[in-house]
Amino acid sequence: MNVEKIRKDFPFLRRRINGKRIVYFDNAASSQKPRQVIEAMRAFYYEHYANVHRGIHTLSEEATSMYEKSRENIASFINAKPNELIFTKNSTEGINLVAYSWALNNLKPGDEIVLSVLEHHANIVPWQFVCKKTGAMLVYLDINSEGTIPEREYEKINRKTKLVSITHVSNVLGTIVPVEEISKIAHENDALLLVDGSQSTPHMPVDVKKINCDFFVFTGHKMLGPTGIGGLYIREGLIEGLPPFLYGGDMIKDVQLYESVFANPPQRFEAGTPQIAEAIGLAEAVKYLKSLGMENVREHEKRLLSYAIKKLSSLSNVEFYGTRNIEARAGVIPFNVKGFFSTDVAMFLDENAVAVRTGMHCAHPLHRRLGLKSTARASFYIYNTEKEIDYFVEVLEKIKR
Amino acid sequence: MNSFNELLKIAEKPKHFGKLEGATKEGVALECGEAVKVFLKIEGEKIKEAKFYGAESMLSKAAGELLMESIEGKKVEDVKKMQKDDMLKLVPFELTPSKEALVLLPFNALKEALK
Repeated sequence: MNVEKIRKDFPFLRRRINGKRIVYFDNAASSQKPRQVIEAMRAFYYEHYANVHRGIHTLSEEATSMYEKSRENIASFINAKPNELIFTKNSTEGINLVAYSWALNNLKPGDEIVLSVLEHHANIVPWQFVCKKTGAMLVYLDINSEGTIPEREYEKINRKTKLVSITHVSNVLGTIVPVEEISKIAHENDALLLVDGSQSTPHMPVDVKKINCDFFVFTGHKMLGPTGIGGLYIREGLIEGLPPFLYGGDMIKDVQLYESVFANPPQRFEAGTPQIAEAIGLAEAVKYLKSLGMENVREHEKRLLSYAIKKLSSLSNVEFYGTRNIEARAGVIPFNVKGFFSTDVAMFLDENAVAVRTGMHCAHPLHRRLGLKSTARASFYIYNTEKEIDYFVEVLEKIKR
Repeated sequence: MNSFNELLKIAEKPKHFGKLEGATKEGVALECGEAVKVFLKIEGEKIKEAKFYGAESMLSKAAGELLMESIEGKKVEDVKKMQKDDMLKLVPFELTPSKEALVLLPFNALKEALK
């Protein structure tokens, strides 16, 4: 992977903050966009734009073809079929769709939903709502001090479990969760498995068939794509029987005054005019990632992660968290500078043009479990370099009273 | 301006940081990950003493210090009239949206205390 060549594709890298070259380490929150993605969306709006489906006129037919072609390309990126991929706004909407369409109609008192304490709020709060509505209960898989789930925790998945909903990669600690193993245990107990792939899909090869999950969500803006577009995979055999989540135009075959016939999936789940340009933008992002090769993306980030861990270990004023096992971790590092709150650290870094995120990263239960009030978080992507890590560490070293 | 070092000066040893014994009013404000509590001792029409507690970031700590300093000795009725912009003016830095939210934490806690 030629990082120098990649960097030329990202216009944001020309930006200076306080006169300094930007170092963008906030990729777990959102990634930057290559010019190819921006250009694909521009070209669509300039030359091919119209509403999709049932247009007949040239522009509408072009827009429909481009939209559906995008679905094919994005689906194949995670090894799904096009009719198994629903376009959503983001991962949060994907999880809510499963909560409303599947969970509210299938759960009852005594049933259990298994989550882990690693989860982002997007994979906690919808299930709290589902439990209040259905009488089902939440059960959490705990972690050890390194941030990995000990195997004995899997025993919490049992015959009462109806759904296991778990992150593929922790957005705070970078922990890679062995979802294939969890899939076996969930299915042995006749439970369904939802995998939150928000932090894995941008950074490593993902194969929903190999994971053997029933639901898989991801979001476009973290993987070089635009905001406002994400995906929900629901496996064939399950998706056909699920009722709609949102109702309205575009999701029907026929509407009478008092009854309607709904469209087949995935259209059944895409009410209203969809995010057409965003789908096209995300397809371009996927094309870009495919051209790099996701194995190479992962190798690059492992290299950065291991380099950063080595450099940070040499700083006496910095503590950082998560497993040291690079094979079981994505390129995410939560840290603190002794004597300073994470916001202060981020402000100092920002004055030196280094972008990191602070707070609890939408994972309040995880921070409480780790006994941390907050952390600053550095997270890497394809355009980051070892040189940037050197500079980051140099700046961190200066944070003193 | 190097706001980090400016902030550090104000937030380093805030005189009004801590819990206040015998407070007559208390208020709390929360913002994703941070909580600030304000304690007031009101005598007659005036705020005799004011303290704040819990602010973790230098921004909310500095804002708390500047706010408490400004309201001590003032009439409760006048402090009640304070608007968001009055608070922001107390802080001598340029504020972006997230920084503004932290600066407003002690102010919102004060408003709660005076409800």
